[in-house]
Formats: sequence, structure tokens, C-alpha cells
Amino acid sequence: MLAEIVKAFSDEYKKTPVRVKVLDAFLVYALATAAVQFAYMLLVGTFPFNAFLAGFLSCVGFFALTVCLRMQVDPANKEFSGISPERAFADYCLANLVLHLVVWNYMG
Amino acid sequence: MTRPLLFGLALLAILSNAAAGKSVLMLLQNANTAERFTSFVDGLSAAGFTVDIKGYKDSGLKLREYGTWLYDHLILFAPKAEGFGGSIDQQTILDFVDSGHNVLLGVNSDVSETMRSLAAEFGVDLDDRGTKVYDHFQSATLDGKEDPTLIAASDLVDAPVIVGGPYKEPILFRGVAAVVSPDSELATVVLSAPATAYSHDPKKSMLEPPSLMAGAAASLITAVQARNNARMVVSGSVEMFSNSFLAATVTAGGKSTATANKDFVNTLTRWTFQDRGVLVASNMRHHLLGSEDQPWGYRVNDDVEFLVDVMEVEGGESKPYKADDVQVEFIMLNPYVRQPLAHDGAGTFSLRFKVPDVYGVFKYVVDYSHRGYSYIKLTHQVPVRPFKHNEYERFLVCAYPYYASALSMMAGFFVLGFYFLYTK
Repeated sequence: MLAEIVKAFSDEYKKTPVRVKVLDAFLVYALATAAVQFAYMLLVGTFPFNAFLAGFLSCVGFFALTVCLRMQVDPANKEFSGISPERAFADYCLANLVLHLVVWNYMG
Repeated sequence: MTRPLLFGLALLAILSNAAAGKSVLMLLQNANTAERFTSFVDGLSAAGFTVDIKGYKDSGLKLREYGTWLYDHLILFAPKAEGFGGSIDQQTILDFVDSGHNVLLGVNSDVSETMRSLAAEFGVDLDDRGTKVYDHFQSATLDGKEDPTLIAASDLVDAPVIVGGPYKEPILFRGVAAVVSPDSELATVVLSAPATAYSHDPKKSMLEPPSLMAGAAASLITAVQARNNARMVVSGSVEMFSNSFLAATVTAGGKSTATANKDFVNTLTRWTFQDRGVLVASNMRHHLLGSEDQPWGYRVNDDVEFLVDVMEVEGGESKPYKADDVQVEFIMLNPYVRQPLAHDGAGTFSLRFKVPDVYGVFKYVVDYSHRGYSYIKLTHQVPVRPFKHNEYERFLVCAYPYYASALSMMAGFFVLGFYFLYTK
């Protein structure tokens, strides 16, 4: 039963464009980094709390922005058909710039 | 040409200011009865006061002239006075007190309505006219006459700064009792009636059930210190200041002793006239530990020290004040710190503490009111700021994973960007 579901999912996922698959890989990467940091914080303690917040939120922010980009460039998603992938990427770049500026500011 | 003159005038003003605080107007029932109080007045003169004795009906009486007070202190020993001569009235006396001057009011059981209402203005309710304090259980004998209205009192308030002492001899009293509202913050019962004494008018029948002012509820002498530090003392007996009581030998409880009146009334009057129990706080300062300079403000969690000098002035001389109950508060709406100050025996009170982990505009407040001493109310505003941007610790080894993750997110963004731009 479960195997069927996984198979149906992977079959369906194979139809996704490569570009979107790459974005998904980065999403997984960002989530994994955030999880590792959280585990590290639990182990070591909250002492440089600002640094933890900055590192953790850089992952979360990167994840959120990449999700937005993925929604806009996914051809299966008709909601953003009025926005070209180039425009979406330019927005993404600007948002990332601001995000990392804030992150390094807060890092201390 | 005018400059030396102005300088001379200024010098005169300074000199007269320095001499201020010692002139007393004493109003008697009749100026001819002044010799009854010579011993009391001599005691005041010895303490440096200049006493001007007048009858209360004297037509030239003046407390204030052209908006300037002519006297610093007022003694009212005219229990029967219904009004005053000259330009003195109740409102003048209240203005006198409002501007920080002191009043000693002595009455007896013939107290007039004017005197009663003046005492009431001070927060002291004198008993009805005609009532006297009686004590049939321990009546004292003076000059061979046993008199139940002669009270040998010794229930003094535990405030040596007001009453002096301790006294072995009793304090002789003959007069009217008073009540002080128990929630009165400013009034202190200096001398209360003995447990067996009560206040009553023998010409009137006793109420049923009897509502007697008796024992400790009957105040014989009440001291009031207003919020502006003006002091008022209401004594139910004017006789206790008289020569005959000061020098009396009284027989009370089978023993013949002298009275403590002389020392007691002298100390009490000096207290009333700000010659005792005056605290002067000065030189309030604060600094970070390890630095002598007073900063503009603090950062949260700084270790700081607060200091203030408090001197007690007695008889014109200041000496270090010693008490363990002076406290300082560090307030931003709520007191975040409220701690007693430690003193070094030389008048400097200090406290070391850690600024709370809260930023905002704080105030140091020293609000000290100890019975018998003038009030201290000092405030000083100090801002407390959070850490500055560059004051956080950085390049910590334990934070390297966080730095690395943020760097890797940036690297990820670059790689993603390249991929996006150069593939189709």
C-alpha cells in the first residue's frame, strides 16, 4: 500500500522539469542545515543566541524564498502565469540580498 | 561706584541668611506673664535662639512684612486667645507653616475655639473645652497638694531625636488631651497619657456607655512634620513649659523626684525649631565599578555603585548620619531595584548593584522618612541602553556552525543563481 503510494509519487515526480527538481534539492538542503543547527543548539546551549537565530533564520528564510521561486517557475502552476521566470528570479535575487544582509547584521 | 555698594548689600544678604533660622516670636496670654517662662526662654537662648516675647493682643504684631517673614519660628502660649492683635490670623499662621516655618502650640483646658481649630489644621483634635486629663490612680503631689489633674507621664515615643533622654524622672503635665487619627502619616504622639489616665469634664455627666479618651489613646503632646518639613508641636499643657514645672519636685507613687521637664521641653522645642533631627543629603553620585566618572547612562547588566552623603545637623553642626534603613530605588514605573544603603560611618551611603536586564529611562529615588528626622527625597534620572551593535561578542568558536550555515546558504544561493542563469 505504502509502496504504491511512493511509486505513484515518484512516477509523478519524474514528470517535473529538471529546473524545479534542482530547486527541490536546495530546499531539502536548507531544511537539513536548519535541523542540524537546531540540534547543535540543543546540545551546546543557547549562548550566542543571536548567532543561532541568524544562522537558523538564514536557512528558514532561504527555504521560504526558494519555495516562492519554485511556485513561480513551476509550469504546472498556472496561478503565476503572468510572471516570467526571469522576473521571478530577479525578485528572488533581491530578496536574498536583503535576507543575507540582515542575517550578517544579526550574526554579531 | 555702585558696585561696592551692591557687593556690600549682597554680603549683608548672605550674612543675614546665615543668621536666619533662629528668631522666634513667642505669643503669651499676656506679656506680663513672661516671667513664668524665663527658664524655658533661657534654654532657648542658650541654644542660640533670639526670642521675642509679646502678648497675643499686642496691636503691633506682625509675622510677615512686605512678603518677608520676620520670624522663623512661632510659639503660641496663649490658650485662651480668640484672635490676635496686629496682622496675625489663622491663615497667616498656616501660610507661615506652608513656607516651611515651625510652630509650637501650648494650650490648656481653657483652650479657645481659635486654638482648637489651629490644632485641627495641624491634624490634632484637642478634646472639648473644659476637659482635663485625670489620673486618680497615680496622682502626683506638687507643693504639698495632691492633684489628680497633675500627670506624671513617662510614656514617651521611642524617638530620641525628638524627645532626648532617656529620662529617669517623670514629665509633669496638666492640661487637655488630644487624639490623632491612627492613619495619620505625619503626626507622632510624642507623649501619651499613662494607662490609668483619662480625659473628662467633671462639670458634665458621663456618657453612657462612657466614651473616654484614656490611656495611650489620649495624646498629651503631638508632633507633626509636614511634607515640607515644617514642624508643629501641640502640647496639651502650657504649664509644663513654666518655671514652676521645670524646677518642680514632685511626689508620684510615693517617691519624691525632680521632673524631666527642663531637658524634655528644651529638646522638644529645639527639635520643633529644626535644631535637631535635620538631615541634609548631598553629593548624590553614581558610577560604573572600576571607573570614577559619572556616566551619561548605563548599558543593561552593568555593575554600578550609587552613593549619597547624608549628614545630620544638630545645633548648627553636621555630623555623619548613621542608619541602616536608608534605601535607594532604581525605578522605571516599577522599582527594579530596592535595596538598603550601607553606610561607612562617615556619612556616605552606598550600594553596589547590577543594572537590570531591561532598557529604558530609569530613576534613582531616595525617599526616606524616618520618625523625627526631616524627609529626604532625591531623584536622578539615568537612561539604560541595550547593547550596541558592536558590543555583542563575535568570532566565538561555539558559534562557528551558525556562521558556516549562513555562509553555506549564501553559497547555495550563488550556485542556484548560476544554475538558473546558465541552463535552460
